[in-house]
Amino acid sequence: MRLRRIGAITLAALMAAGTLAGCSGKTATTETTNAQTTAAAETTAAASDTKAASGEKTVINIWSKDRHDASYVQEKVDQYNKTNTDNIQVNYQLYTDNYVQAIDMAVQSGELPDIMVQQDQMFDKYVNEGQWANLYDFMDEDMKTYFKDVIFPGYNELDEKLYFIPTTGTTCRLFYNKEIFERAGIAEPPKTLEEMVADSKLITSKLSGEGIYGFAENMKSASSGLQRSLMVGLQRETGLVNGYDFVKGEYDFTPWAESLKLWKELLSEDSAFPGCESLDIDPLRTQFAAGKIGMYMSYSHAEPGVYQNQFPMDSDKWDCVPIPTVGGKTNGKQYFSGTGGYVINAKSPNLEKAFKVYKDIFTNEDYLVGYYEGGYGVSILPSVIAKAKPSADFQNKKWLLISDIDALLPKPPHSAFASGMVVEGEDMYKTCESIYYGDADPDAALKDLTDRYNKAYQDAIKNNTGYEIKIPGYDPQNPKLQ
Amino acid sequence: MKETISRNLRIKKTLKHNLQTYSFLLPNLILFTACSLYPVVWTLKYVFYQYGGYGTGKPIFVGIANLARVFRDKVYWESVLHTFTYGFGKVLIIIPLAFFLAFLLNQQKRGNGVTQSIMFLPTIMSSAVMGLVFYLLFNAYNGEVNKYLLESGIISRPVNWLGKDHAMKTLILTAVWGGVGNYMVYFIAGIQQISEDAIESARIDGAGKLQTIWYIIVPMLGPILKIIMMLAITSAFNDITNVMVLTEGGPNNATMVMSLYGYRYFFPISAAEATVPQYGYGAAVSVVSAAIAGVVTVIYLKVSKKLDDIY
Repeated sequence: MRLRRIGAITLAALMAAGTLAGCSGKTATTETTNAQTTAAAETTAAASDTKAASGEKTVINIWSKDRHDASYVQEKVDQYNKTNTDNIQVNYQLYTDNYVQAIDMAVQSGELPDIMVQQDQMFDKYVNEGQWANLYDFMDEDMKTYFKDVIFPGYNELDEKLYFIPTTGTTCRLFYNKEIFERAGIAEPPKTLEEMVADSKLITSKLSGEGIYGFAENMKSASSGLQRSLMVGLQRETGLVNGYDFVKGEYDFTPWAESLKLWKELLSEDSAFPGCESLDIDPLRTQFAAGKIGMYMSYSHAEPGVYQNQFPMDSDKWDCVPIPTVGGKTNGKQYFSGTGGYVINAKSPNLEKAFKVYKDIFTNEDYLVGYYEGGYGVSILPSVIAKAKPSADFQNKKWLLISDIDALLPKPPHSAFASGMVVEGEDMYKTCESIYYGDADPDAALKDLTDRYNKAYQDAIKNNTGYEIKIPGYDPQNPKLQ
Repeated sequence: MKETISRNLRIKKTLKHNLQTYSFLLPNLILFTACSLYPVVWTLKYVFYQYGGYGTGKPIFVGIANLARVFRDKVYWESVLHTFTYGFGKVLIIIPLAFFLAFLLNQQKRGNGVTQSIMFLPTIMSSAVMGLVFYLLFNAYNGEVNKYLLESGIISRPVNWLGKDHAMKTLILTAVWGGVGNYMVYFIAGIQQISEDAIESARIDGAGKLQTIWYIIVPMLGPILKIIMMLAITSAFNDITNVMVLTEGGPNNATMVMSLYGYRYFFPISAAEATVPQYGYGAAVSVVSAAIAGVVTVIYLKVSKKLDDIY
C-alpha cells in the first residue's frame, strides 16, 4: 500500500516536472541561448575563429516579406553559402503574411533574426528601442561614398545614424492592358479620374460578354487596395499627405469627396470586375495577365517581376501611367518609398558577421545590377542605373521609373506615432469603403472622419503619446522631410 | 489521550490522502493557470488600459474608457447582429440537416458507412483550407458555381456570391458544410441509444414513419439534442477562420462577426493593414462579446430544460 502511494506520488511529481519542463523549456533554451549569445557577443574575433576552427558554422538568419524577388535572393544566398570562406551559413526565410506580427513576436521572445527586410511599420516601432544597428559603425569610407545619393536625413538617417540603405524605389501607377484599350477603341490611357471612369465603363459595356471588365482593385482589404491607388492619387490631387496638412498641423479629409464619388462609379456593376470586394492582389494579377482586366493600380517595383516570373504576360500588352486625379489636378507630389533596404538586429550575437553578409550579398554591385535587370525593383542608385541594362519593361515604360511626380513625403501623425494615436471608430480606409459602397454620405462621413482624426491627434499630444507635427512653409510640390 | 492520538492519526491520514490528490491535480492546475486563467486575467486587466503591444511604450490607464467606447461603437454592434444572423442561420440549417442525414445513414444499407465517412470529412479538414475551397467555388469571376449557372443559362451575369448581398449566405453555407458531418455523428450516436422496443411498440400501436420520428425519436433525443444545440451555438459565436479566409469581414463589414472584430484589434488582419494593434480596446470588445455569448448560453440552458422534461 505504502509502496503504491510512494509510486503514485513519484509519478505525479514526474508528471509535474514534465509539465513544468514543457512550459519552461523555451525559457531554459532562451536563457541558454542568451547566455551563449551574450558570451559570444562579448568575445573577440579570436573566439569566432575558434568557432570556425572547430568547424561549426555561424548561422546568419535573414527574414524577408517580399515574394516577388524571393527566387533571385535565394539564388544569391545559395551562391554565398557555397562560396563564402568565413564559415557562414545564411538562412533566408519568407514571412509574406503578418510580417510585422512575426517581427513583434520575435522581438518579444528574443529570437529576432540577424538581418531583416526593412518595412516602415516595424522600423518605426523599434528604432527608438535601439533594436536596429547603426550601419555607419561598420561602413568604410568607400561604402559611404557609394551610397551617398540614397541617404535621406529624416528617412533612413536619423540623428546621424544610418539604419538602412534603400537601393530601389517604388511608387504607385495605373497599369493598363493596351490590347483591351485598343479593342474598346480607347486611344490613350486616362489622365483624369473622370476619363478613367468613362474608359472603364466603355470597356465593360463592350467586352463584358467575353469576361473582360474595365477596372479592378484588390478590395478584400480596404487598406491594402487603397494604399496603392486612391490614397496616392489624392496626395497629388490635394497636396495633403493621407489627409494631413503639414502647414496647418491638422487633418482635413473633406477634399476627398469628389474622388470618392467617382470611385463609387468606378466600382459599380457597369464598370468593375465582378468580385472586387473579395479580391486579393495575386488573384487580380492572374486575371490581368489572362487579359480579363482593363486597368488596376499597384506598385511600380513589383509588377514587372510579377508578369515576368510569377504570372507570365507579354510585355507588349501592358504599360503604366500616373494615377489619374479629379480633373487632372496636381497640387502636390505623390509618395515614393525606398525599397531593397535591410535592417540589422543590433542585438544580434553575430553583429559583425551579419553586416558582412549584408554587405557581401545585398550591397554587392553585381547583385544590385542583376536585381534591376531582373525587373525586381527600380534602381535609385546612379552607378547601378549607369551600368545596368534593365529589361525591356524598364527601358520602354518610362513611368515604371521614379520620376519628378514622386517624392519622399513626411510622415503624418498616424504614421509617425501609430500606436500613440488611437482613432475611435473606423479608420480612413474603412470609411472610404463605406462611401464607395454607398453605405455612407461622402460629405458627412469625411467631416466625421476629419473630426475623429483631429481629436485622436490632439489626445495623443495631450497624453504624451504623440507630438505636434507642423512644417512651416511646407510646399507640397517640393516636400521636405521634417 | 487516546482521542488525541486518534485525531492526530486522522489528520495525518487526511494530509497524506490530500497530498496524493493534489499531486495528481498539480499538473492540470499549472496548465489551467498558465493557459486559461492567466490569459483571462490578462485580458481583464487590459480592458482598463490603452496599449499598442510590445515596443509601443507603457500601457496607459484609461479607466472604463474602453468599455464606454464599445457601447458607442456602431460597427461593433452591427458585428453582434451579424454574429446572431450567422449563428441562427447556421443552427437552423445544420440541426435539421444533420438529423435527416443521421436518420438516413443510420439504416443498415450498403454504402452508408462510406457515406458517413465522406460526410464527416469536412470536420477534420482545416477551416482555412475549407475557406479557400469555397473561395474557388464561389468567387464571382471564375468560381465553379457561377460557371455552372452561366453555362446552364440560369443566370446571365456572374453573381457576386462574396459581395455585400450574398456574402453572409455563402458563409453560412460554408459553416453548414463544414459542421454537418460532426453533428450527424452525434445524432447517429443518439439514435442508436434509443431502445428498439420503444420504436417497435409505437409501430404496433399503428404509428407511421413520420409519427415515429416526431413522437418517439425526436423526444428521446432530447438530452443529446441539447448538447448538439449547445455546441452549434457556441461554435457559431467563435467561428472566425471561415470569415477571415473568405471575406475578412467585408465587404464594408457586411460579414464582420464579433469575435473577428475583437481579433483584428489584437492582430491587424492583412499584411498591409494599416490598423495598429489596440490591445486595450480589443480586450474590452472580447469581454463584452464573452458576456453576450454567456447571456445567450444561459438563456439557451433555461429554454433547453424543457427538452429534459420531455425526456
